[in-house]
Amino acid sequence: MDRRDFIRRSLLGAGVGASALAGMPNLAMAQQAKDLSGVLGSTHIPAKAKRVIYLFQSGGPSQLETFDYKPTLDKRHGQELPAEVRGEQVLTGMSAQQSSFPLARSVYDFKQYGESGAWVSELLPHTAKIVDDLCIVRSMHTDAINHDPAITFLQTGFPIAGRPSIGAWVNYGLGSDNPNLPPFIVMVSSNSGGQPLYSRLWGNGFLPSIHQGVQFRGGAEPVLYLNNPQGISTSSRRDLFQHFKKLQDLQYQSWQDQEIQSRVAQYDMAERMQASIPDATDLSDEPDWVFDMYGPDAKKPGTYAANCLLARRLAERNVKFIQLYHQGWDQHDNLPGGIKAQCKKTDQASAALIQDLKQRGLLEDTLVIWGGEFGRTNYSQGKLTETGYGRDHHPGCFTMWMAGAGVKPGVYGETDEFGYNIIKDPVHVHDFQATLLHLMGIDHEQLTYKYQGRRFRLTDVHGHVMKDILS
Amino acid sequence: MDITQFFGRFHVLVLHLPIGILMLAALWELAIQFKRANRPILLNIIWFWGAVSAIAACILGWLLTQAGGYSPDAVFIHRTFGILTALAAIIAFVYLTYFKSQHKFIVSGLAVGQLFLLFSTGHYGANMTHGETYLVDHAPNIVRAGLGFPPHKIPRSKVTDLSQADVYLDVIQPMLEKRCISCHNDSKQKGKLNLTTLENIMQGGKSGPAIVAQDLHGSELYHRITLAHGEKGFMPAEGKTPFTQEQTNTFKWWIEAGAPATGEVTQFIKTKQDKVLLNNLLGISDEFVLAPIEPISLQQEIALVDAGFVFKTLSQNSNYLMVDLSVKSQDLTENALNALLNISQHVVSLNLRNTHTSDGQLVQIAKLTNLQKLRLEHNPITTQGMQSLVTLANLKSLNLYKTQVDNSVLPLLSEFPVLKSVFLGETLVTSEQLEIFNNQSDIKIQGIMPVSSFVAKAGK
Repeated sequence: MDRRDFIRRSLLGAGVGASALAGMPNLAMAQQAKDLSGVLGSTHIPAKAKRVIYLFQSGGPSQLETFDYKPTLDKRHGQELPAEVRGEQVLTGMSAQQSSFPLARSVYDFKQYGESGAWVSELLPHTAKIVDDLCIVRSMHTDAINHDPAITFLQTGFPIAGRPSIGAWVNYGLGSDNPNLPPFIVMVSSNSGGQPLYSRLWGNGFLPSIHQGVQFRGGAEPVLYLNNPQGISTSSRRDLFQHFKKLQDLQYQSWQDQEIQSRVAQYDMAERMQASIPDATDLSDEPDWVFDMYGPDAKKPGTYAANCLLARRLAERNVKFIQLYHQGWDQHDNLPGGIKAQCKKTDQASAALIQDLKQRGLLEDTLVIWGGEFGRTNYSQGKLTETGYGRDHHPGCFTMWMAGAGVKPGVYGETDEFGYNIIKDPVHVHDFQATLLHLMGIDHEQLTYKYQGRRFRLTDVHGHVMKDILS
Repeated sequence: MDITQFFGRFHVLVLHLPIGILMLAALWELAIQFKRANRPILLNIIWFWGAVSAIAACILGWLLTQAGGYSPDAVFIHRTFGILTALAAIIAFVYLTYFKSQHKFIVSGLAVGQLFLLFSTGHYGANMTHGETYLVDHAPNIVRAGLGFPPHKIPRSKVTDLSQADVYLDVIQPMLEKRCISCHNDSKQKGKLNLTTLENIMQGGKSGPAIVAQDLHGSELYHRITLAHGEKGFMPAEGKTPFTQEQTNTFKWWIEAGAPATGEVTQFIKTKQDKVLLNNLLGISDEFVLAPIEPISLQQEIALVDAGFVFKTLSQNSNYLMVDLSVKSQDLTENALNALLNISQHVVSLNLRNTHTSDGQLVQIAKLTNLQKLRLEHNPITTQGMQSLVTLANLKSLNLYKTQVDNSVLPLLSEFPVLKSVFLGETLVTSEQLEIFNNQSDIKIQGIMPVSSFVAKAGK
């Protein structure tokens, strides 16, 4: 019997009248305790990571212009992609009809950095300086070849919409570390565009709706209507809310619907956020040198850089799962120009976030993740010219990096000389998800939710923890 | 391509036919004899096909043995029984089909004999493919004793501290058992190598001794497991899971330590890296070293909640607590401090960020003897307050970001017994002093990052 059943049954047993009313404070307390501890009560194993900052680079950043250096492409620039390298890889409808698949080298130079000697392209000068804090995984692969299923797959473990996102699972399992802020916060860069994102990517799926991510707005005010309307005092608002809660409780007693509790809890949270949000989101107490670190965009609310800074502030306040999205990595044509602009918007702030967390002692127990939903092809989509080319979607290999709590810095996995297939230590999306949960202290096979007659989990029936990258 | 092998390998497929068909025939004959029922003519056909399939299995089996690879003794006994089975089947078919009057005892004898031969042949054949101990590997000890096998080895208890670990039994042997033994054991010795005992290991195989004490280059085993994956001679072969970097490093450490046959691991640990390596290999994390402790009482929990603490246990299997006062914007009051002191043994991690904690209160905090991680950022704390904390024998991580400590805190840090990381950004500590200290000390101190260089270097 889980806690929810217990509450339900004890309430039904209490019947109506005075005894039911007496049970109400306990209900509220039980709900609050549950929000804090999650369904697991505590982690399966001691957690290395107490919180996650996931910098999602939406659109599919090219691994070949960022982290996966391929000299062979330099040598064979313009030659056909050998059929045996392509193998049985399915192509998208966007390039499958091409009469030729000319290999395209990166127009950007690579150099080795840090003790690990990791290759990083000239597009990422800031990231290059922190490579020794990063675990660069070059051997990610996924099942999906188009944006929506691929992002949905990475964020929910299944390519079709309807499952809970990683953040929702973590919140369902572990609850919150700060009762005054939502435990799962989402920010989408305002200075990016491209393939659309949907709120179901941070949705609760079949879990109670209280576990869904709370999206901040991209403007100067991340959360609206925090102040009381003119002429209404805090006490009268609270009064109103108390009466409203009584009505909800009556409704809950007759219907026993989990969603009623979720709703009441959200009202509670909203009240606490009136105080906690200004404290968390007001950047005026940040000195100039901090803004300098994150780059010029950091002062423009809603940009990737400002969101990174905000993510650090939320991490300081123990928000468990902070998810950023930056769109626009989908360079089918004019890749050199497009990816350069993308890197310029994200490189400095991503690196600054790592540095900032590190100097504040937060990187010890914060896991930072950078990556998109798939990689890009080693051949040019469209015409290959001296300086212009595009790359199509490629699920066969892509690069992600992780940094911080419990992750061993270094370079992991390897692709073939064409940058097309993985030849060493492949990491499937489910393996990545299993590892993420492991670092948070969750056994991915043990966190389940019964829905429509079967128990579901983030990694479905797959996933192996990447033991070799754990520190 | 070897055509005899191509057909020979069908032996393992075809051999199941005589087993099924002849067993059916023999059991049916016995049932007829006991029940005195009528014998259907169909049985003759069953015996016929049983005999044919037995002969086929014999021929294919003979082809399979042509390539060698099996022990001649085992082949002899299996082949003998196989041929006898086929002969018995032919005799039974001829007798039962062509003899007008059949004697009850002869029929029963033929059927029983056929069953005996079938089981024997099958048994000796299976021994060749699965190994002789296959059936008793998981047998209860009483069954093993009855069959003359030694009882199961009692598994060694999980090591929770390096000082309990034996260098061979707990470190080296488990790795060999997991990755090597299936091909290098008493009965199957690929490359004439047996890795079940240390003596055999030293003796080595076809390519020389597997391990030579203090000689990495002479140690064939180390050489093989550190080749590039897929290179000829790489072990474990045939795409089996290779050793991890950690495991190969452990072999290296062991060989360099003289490949000791027994002894406490701690005797052979020379550097800090060795210690980290073995702790990681054996999955010993510092959290597990803590002795089990009772959960705190409900009253203690209520006191913590009332004082504004958010707290969680370390894991489902531990009652130690991670305690946080930072998120509710409440100060560390006397009440809060008392609530903490009530559970002083339980606290392993404490976050007092921005709670107006004072130097005087740190004297009390020093009573939390199991504390491993202490966050004191954004508090009016000076070096003086740090004096009282040096008694914290388990403190590994200390966060003093944006406190008032100055350069004189640096020598104090070396007095903490196990301190590993300290955060001193935005304090009065100067970066010059920090650098000098960092060059001399094992403790990893993170000051404030030089932002200017970060921006300037990267800006171009």
